[in-house]
Amino acid sequence: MRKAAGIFFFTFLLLQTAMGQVPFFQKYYLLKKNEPVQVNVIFQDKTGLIWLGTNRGLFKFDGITYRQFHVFDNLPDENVTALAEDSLGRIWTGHKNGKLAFFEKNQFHAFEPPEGSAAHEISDILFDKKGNLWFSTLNDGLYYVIQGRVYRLDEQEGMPDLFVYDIEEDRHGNVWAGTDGGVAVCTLTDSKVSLTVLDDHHGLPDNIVKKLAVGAGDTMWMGTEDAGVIQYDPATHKYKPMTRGRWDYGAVTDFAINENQIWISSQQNGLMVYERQADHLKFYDATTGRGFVSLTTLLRDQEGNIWAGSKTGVMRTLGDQLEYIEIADPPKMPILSPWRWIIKATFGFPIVRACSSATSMKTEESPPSNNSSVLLFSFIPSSVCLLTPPGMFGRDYTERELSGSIR
Amino acid sequence: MTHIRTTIARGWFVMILVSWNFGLQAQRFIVDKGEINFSSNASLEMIKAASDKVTGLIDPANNQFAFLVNISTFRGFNSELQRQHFNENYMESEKYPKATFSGKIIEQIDFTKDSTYEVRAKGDLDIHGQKQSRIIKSKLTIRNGHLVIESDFIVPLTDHIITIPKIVSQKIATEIEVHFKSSLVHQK
Repeated sequence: MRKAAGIFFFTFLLLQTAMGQVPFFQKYYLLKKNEPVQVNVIFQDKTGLIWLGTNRGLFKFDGITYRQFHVFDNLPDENVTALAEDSLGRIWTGHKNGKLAFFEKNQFHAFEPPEGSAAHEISDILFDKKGNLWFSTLNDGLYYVIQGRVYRLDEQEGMPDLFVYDIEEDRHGNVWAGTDGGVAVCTLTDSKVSLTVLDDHHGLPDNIVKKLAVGAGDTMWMGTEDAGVIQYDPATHKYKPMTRGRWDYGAVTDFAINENQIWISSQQNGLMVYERQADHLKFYDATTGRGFVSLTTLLRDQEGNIWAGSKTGVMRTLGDQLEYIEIADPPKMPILSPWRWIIKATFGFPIVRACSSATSMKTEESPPSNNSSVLLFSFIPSSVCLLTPPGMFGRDYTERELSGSIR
Repeated sequence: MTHIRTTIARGWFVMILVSWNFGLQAQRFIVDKGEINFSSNASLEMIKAASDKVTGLIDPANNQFAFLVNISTFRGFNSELQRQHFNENYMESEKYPKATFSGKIIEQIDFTKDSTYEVRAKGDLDIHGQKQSRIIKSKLTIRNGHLVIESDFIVPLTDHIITIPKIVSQKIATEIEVHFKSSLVHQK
């Protein structure tokens, strides 16, 4: 009797813990007491370390421990807004106050060219294939550095706008800059840049281009303020929207391409995943977890995980085998309106779908007959468990493999 | 003789500068009438307030704009005590007396042509001493040399570090709905 009561109590505790979590993401707490930190940029270096540029300095994360860098460590400003790595493996930081620094021999060094630094926030840093440093600013144009000399591109040089959000190098070595006035394609010859502008006069659906990413072939993906994510083909000069019809899901703050998926963050709708083959857009709404609607940046890491930075912290997807299914799927799941989340998981046996409400959990699809009663819960952020008649199954996503069954 | 020439040249330069500056200023639109309304729609209470003490201008020469309202000029609320709390506890209007929005209109507009435009105003929204870069969609109507700009937008309190005590969290919304309308005329 005591044993049964103990099991019941243990299960109850686990379920209570699970209710408050979104099992699809692991949330990382960067500061003690879970203080919110605005994550401006996430970057993975060549060795696999994750760097987080925040309003509370720079964080280096090796998967287990964090190290935080401040102005006391020679950072020019506490607010880190851009990150990049040069060919020597040095991490470069761009800051809200327009300054740059690089990390070498375990300390930061200010980048102080004789011409001075930018007057506004650094939005992105890029090292092109030739090793030249480029950096973009919010309202101070685009800069590039050749042989220690700094050059600035502004409206006089043909930049469509001084507000430059993102820079990306294409396969031919051209540097693309997304601005408030369209896209500037910069071709560097010796130390001179010639500019080609893509804007609404050339068919660009929206002039505010906040994010760029190189696509297949010579194509370039563009995340826009009001037209969603679009693909541009320089060969045909054609723009192709990611989704059919009008984009009604808000300003794109960032996007990350993960094989057949495009993860998109928007101010109004939080996190979305577009399944390219199925031509289907899936939403993570605010009810599935906090932090989705204030996302600032996304990163696909070398293992295919998606990292999402927000105004309050950072989260990471738990792995490919665990799939979130959005609530709005009425034909298949008519009973699910009160449910808070639904997931689909593969645990070495056929797929199980389970869902959770505020008070209980339930499977939607019948798993194998011997697993007809399944409880699914997550009692630590990095793992998911299934409680079934044959036993308890768990997956630890930090190990990325099945941790085995417990009977 | 050289001195006289220099003086004449300087005089011409000053005249040209003055007339050029006057010409530029004549192009500007300044606020004739303006009103900002906000509503906080929380589960237990709806609070509404408005101010018609809006100042500002739009400069067609460079598409730039600036608008300002004094926080203490908001009237409405459900009680005088609520207005007092708004000024003293939440907005700290003595410390941060003004809310401003300044920046530029993204779209290129022909300000000489009567028409209605859907535009995006991009700039820094400064409330409670906290600046946030925002793009706010607005409707801009030009009619007979007059200009009317109207927009609806949301202000999340967390963006501007406005903290609401837990005890009143069900009475004050975390996101404030704002409606702005202003008519502008040529600066004389």
